[in-house]
Amino acid sequence: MNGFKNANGKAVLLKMVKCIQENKDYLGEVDGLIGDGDHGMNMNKGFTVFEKRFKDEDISFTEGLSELGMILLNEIGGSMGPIYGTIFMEMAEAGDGLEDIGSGGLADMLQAGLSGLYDIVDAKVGDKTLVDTLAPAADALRQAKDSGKDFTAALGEMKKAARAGRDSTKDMVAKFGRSSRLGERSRGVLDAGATSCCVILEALADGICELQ
Amino acid sequence: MKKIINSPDNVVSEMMEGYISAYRRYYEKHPDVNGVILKQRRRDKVALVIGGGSGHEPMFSGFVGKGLADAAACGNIFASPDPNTVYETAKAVNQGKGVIFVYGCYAGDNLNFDMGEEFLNDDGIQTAHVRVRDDVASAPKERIEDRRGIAGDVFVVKIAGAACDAGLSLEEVTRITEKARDNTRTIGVATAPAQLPGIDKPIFELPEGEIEYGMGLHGERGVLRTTWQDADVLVEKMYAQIMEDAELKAGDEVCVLVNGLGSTTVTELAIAYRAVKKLLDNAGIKVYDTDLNSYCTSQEMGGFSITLFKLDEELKRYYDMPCYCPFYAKGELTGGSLLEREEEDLSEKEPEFDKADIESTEIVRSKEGILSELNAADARNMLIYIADKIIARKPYLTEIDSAIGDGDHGIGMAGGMQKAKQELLKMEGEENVYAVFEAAGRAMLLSMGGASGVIFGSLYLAGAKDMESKSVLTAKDIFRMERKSLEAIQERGKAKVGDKTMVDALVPAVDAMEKCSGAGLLEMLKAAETAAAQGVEATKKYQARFGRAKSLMERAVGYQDAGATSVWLILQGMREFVEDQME
Repeated sequence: MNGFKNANGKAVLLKMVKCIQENKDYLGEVDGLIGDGDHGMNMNKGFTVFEKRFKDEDISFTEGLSELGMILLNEIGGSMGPIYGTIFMEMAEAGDGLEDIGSGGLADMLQAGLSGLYDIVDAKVGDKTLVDTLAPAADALRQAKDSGKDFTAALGEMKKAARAGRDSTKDMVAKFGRSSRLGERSRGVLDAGATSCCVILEALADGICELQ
Repeated sequence: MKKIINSPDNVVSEMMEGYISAYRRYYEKHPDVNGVILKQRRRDKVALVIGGGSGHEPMFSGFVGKGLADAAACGNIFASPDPNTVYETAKAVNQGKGVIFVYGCYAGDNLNFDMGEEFLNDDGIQTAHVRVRDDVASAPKERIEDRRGIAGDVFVVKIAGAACDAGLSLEEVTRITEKARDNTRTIGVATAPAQLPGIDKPIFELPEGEIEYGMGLHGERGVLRTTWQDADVLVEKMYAQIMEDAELKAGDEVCVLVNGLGSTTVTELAIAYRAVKKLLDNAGIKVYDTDLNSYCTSQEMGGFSITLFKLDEELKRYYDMPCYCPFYAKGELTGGSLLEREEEDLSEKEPEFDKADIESTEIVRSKEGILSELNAADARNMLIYIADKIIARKPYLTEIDSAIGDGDHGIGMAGGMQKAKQELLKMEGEENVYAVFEAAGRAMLLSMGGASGVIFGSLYLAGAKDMESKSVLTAKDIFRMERKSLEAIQERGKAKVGDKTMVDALVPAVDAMEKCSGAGLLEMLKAAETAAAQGVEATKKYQARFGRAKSLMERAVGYQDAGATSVWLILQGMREFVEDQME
């Protein structure tokens, strides 16, 4: 597989929705350890609204991403609304004209999402946030493409990096968000944002593979 | 723990519907977003918009009101509102003089309010914001902008609301609000975790005997977990931490807020405040005003926070300005104008009545031997003697009352008598005998509370009230006075002989007085004392028709009534004084 058709991409988004819904309680638990426990609920709420509104609509992958981003920005509040909202909307804009999306296109989109994020937050890799999942995942996808791997393999690399990134947050001390107040006490527990980002990226990869 | 909700997904929208409908005199909802808007807004002023998660009630929507916020932008339970909600809510209350936002400093709120402000600025609307960051436990002083906002919201919103109401410019409002923000320091402890509606378990586990120190307002855990301590010990630690951070010195003046987090009782807040006040007094820091309430909660989280808000002359002016909303009010109607008494005045209050050092007073009689009439000085000394007698008998009365009551009769009577005595001690030189009885009775009535207060206060007061001044009372005068008191008591309490109350001693006593009033003062009082004693004995036979013992029904039989016992002791004291046979 070299890529997927943007126009057929709705199913990928719906896969992302399903995975968030399935992980609602888990995300809530993770967030409860060093946060306030509402991450699962809030993400589920936003993603489910998107599903309700668009599952029967004829939309492309990038159109859907944009809609999803706006819903998250406008309807879930908290810090994750603007953060995921920005990421998805920037991704959508970067991929807007593409008919086929492959490793390169997707890598560009992820990079755009990351840049958009850096415009509104100060977090970097190592600060125990979703950046610790997203940045390595974007890098891994780019590198896999540059070393000539095919799309499926590249997506596999992206997933692996996402998981590793998420797991790396466990031993970090949080620098942002609620858990940053806890200092050393935030160590030993995963970051909720990094966890949900990993769920999303894995669902994205799996959804794309299932299109074949 | 189950909550009284429908579907967890609809908690916020249903809550807003119910809340705004309940307070529709004051509030309306923005048609498109979760914004709570004040209906009667002052014209031509900077608009104050506050906001944050909906789970901190009554903060934030409960602080929309006159002299407070014009609107609140509401998010999910523990999440900030989204930028669109912020934007639309602010737009709805903008009067053309700009909008100032006051909210707690949190990643989500900062991001979303910033975005909302950008949209407003794009529309040409001038904005400013002041982030509350009073929680000293959440970041060190060097990173003060990272600190989170907790109960200190109250003071910052109050000042901002007043400054806006005064018609100041956006620059001035911002300056004053920032000063208020910079003068606020808070620290909190949690004793029990919160629970999100729709999630069946609490956000974290807190084992028995442990408390969470420096937690935030979202049910999340704090910076340190430690073992339970007595209130005074805990408060001392918390106070030390605030004082390390705040720049407060002797002579400074503060407002204090002891804020409950949701399930902590006012009783506990008051006990905590008592400790805070002592520490502030020791430090020479004056308290201008205090609130004990749960303004900034986290669902049903247990625990509390202490906030110190340093005043200067300017801030005091804005603090004193009237404001009103269903959950918070300040200003003339709430007693602000009454605060003219100096602190020194309040500290001269009479000592608590059950202090161990009850002074015994020298009892003076106008002459040696038996008295045949009572002048004012004698009446005064007699009632003081009776007061001392009852106070000394407190354990005895407590024991009797414990058998069939709740054991507080002794404390109540001793307390009332102590107050009566203090009044009597001030009345040296009084010439009207009735005035002496009246003052003693009034002191008891006003201080005792409960049914006993009214009844025993009336024992002295009712007979003496509205009587023409007399410098000497004869036996007949005293009988008439007691008859009048008895009538008032029966009118008030509706008890009759046989109901196992003080009336069982008083009725026979007064009847005996009637029979013997011609036989001289001492003979009359002896007869009254004997009749009262018999009445007390008789109460043993009865079931109680009044008071706590009523519910015991037959089980009250065999025990004497404490109130009747007090009546007998009072009459005995009268007789002992008149006979010069005091203990």
